[in-house]
Amino acid sequence: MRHQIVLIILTFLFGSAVLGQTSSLTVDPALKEQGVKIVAEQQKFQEYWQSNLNTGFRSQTEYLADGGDGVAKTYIEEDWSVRNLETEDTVAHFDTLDGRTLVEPSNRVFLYAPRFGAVRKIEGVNNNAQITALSQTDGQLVLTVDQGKEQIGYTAQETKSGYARTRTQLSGIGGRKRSTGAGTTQGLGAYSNFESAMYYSNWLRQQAIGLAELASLAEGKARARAWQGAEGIKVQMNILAPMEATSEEGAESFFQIEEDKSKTSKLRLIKVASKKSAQPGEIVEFTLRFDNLGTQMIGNVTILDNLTTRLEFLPGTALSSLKSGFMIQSNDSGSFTLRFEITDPLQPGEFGVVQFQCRVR
Amino acid sequence: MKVFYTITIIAFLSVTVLYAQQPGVRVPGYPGVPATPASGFSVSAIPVPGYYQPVKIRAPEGTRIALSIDQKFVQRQTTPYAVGLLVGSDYRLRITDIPFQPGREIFPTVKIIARTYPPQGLELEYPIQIDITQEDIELALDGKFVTRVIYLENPQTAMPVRGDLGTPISTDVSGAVDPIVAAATMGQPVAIVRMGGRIPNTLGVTDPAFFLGSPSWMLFDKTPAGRYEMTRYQNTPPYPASTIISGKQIVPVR
Repeated sequence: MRHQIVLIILTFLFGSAVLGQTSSLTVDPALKEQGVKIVAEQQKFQEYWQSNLNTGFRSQTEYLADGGDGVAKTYIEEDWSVRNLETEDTVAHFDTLDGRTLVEPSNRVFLYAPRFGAVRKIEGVNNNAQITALSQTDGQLVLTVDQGKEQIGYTAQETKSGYARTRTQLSGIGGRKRSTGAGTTQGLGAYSNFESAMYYSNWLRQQAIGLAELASLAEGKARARAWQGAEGIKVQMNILAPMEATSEEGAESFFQIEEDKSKTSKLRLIKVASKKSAQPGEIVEFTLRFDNLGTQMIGNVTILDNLTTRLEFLPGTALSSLKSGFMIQSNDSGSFTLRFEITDPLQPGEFGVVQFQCRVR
Repeated sequence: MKVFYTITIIAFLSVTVLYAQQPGVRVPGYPGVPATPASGFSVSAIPVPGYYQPVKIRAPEGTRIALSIDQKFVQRQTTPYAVGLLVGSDYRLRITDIPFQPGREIFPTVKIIARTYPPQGLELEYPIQIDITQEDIELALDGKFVTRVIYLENPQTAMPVRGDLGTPISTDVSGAVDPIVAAATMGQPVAIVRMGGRIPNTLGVTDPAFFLGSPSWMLFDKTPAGRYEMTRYQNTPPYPASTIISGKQIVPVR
């Protein structure tokens, strides 16, 4: 047992040695050298942080995201204006043969591109010395303190009890209840007259309830019940008869739109980046492929890419595999919104590709 | 016998807990909030055992930077200085060969308060970048105290400016503003650099507190082939790190 206790203590010391390396034990220099060699061998595990400690965690602040449709879903007005196109959104909208305008978002592309900034603060001792200069505070400080002491009398005047008594009268409460009542004023008198107020104040002062006070209390309780808003509402419920009103508004007919499932309109939009990571200043090429996966022709295919702040569009790099128009417009985040308008309708199974390049800010 | 093993394990775990609670791993004035890697305000540094966060320290051209081990500065590397630092530990730097300031030197401190999560294999390509400008150094030499809080910018609130290598993004705050709080509004604070503080004792007596305990660090040397050679520096242990106890003698592990 003694041996075991000693071993426990030494285990504790061993742990301290490995983790804290703060022990002050003195040992043989030869053993110390041996320990250094062991430490050198442990350095073979230097690359462990590359494999074992990489958690696969994806930090939102380290990645640039572009593509998809954000929280507010993008939609197209009747006048072709685009609504809710947020920063980072990439969508395509198109017209179907049955007159609808549909919106299809792309997938999201993530680019590892952390950017670091710094907040600098400069402090100097000289500034503090100026603030604590005594020359400006000496004279004024004495006068201020003297005036403050003389003004204590004003505080006593403000605590006159007369004001408190006025505020505790119950007539004010009675007045408020009258406004929410249902008509008559009979019950409100007990609360609004001064006697009732005196009753409560008397009970509060003497801490005792006499027979007169009990009678008055019972009367007050009865009136309070009579004037509860809930009772008044019950009467009105009977008169209104809401069941009849709801029956009058019942729907009499339903409309059902039957869609021919053999005629579908579906567009797929895929977005890819040429790199998975980029340093500030590097150029990344984005490619958007759109496929008509439906069974009908679609027209007015328009692709919109609202670039995130740190992607700077490079003019002259936009390409399209199909005949199309191209426009750019500044967006709210300090970058650009790209707009590709495919001129010709897209037949079922047909696809197209557009490309552009951005510099990572 | 089961009780014996239980107590042994508890003893070892208690050492681990005590080690994790050692002072100096939290930013003073910002207790209790765990360091979250995702976006959001958190400034306390929870150490990541064994993880050396790659850091690239850039100073004006020509300057040399050194870190300490065994309470002395061991090497003077040219800028940029690629090292791995433990999260939560304070490090003392020595910056010499300052342009236009011959013979003068400053001793900033660096503290990493959060790690980054790059894709596997890109750890060294995307280190935390710390920029120390000529103005910073000259302010420190002039007696000012300069604090730089490095933050990982939130891409959704990023400034629409180019953040190329030659133009680091930097914002100055006035004396009434806490730079850590200001940095947290723009992203995730990851490191704190303080310049203009203490200088070493010139009487030849080593001051252990000046070196902040000389926590271990790793040097990353990029070879011409593009690979990195890693060397870990740590204090010489007072006795063999891995030993077993036999009777009353300390025997090293063979």
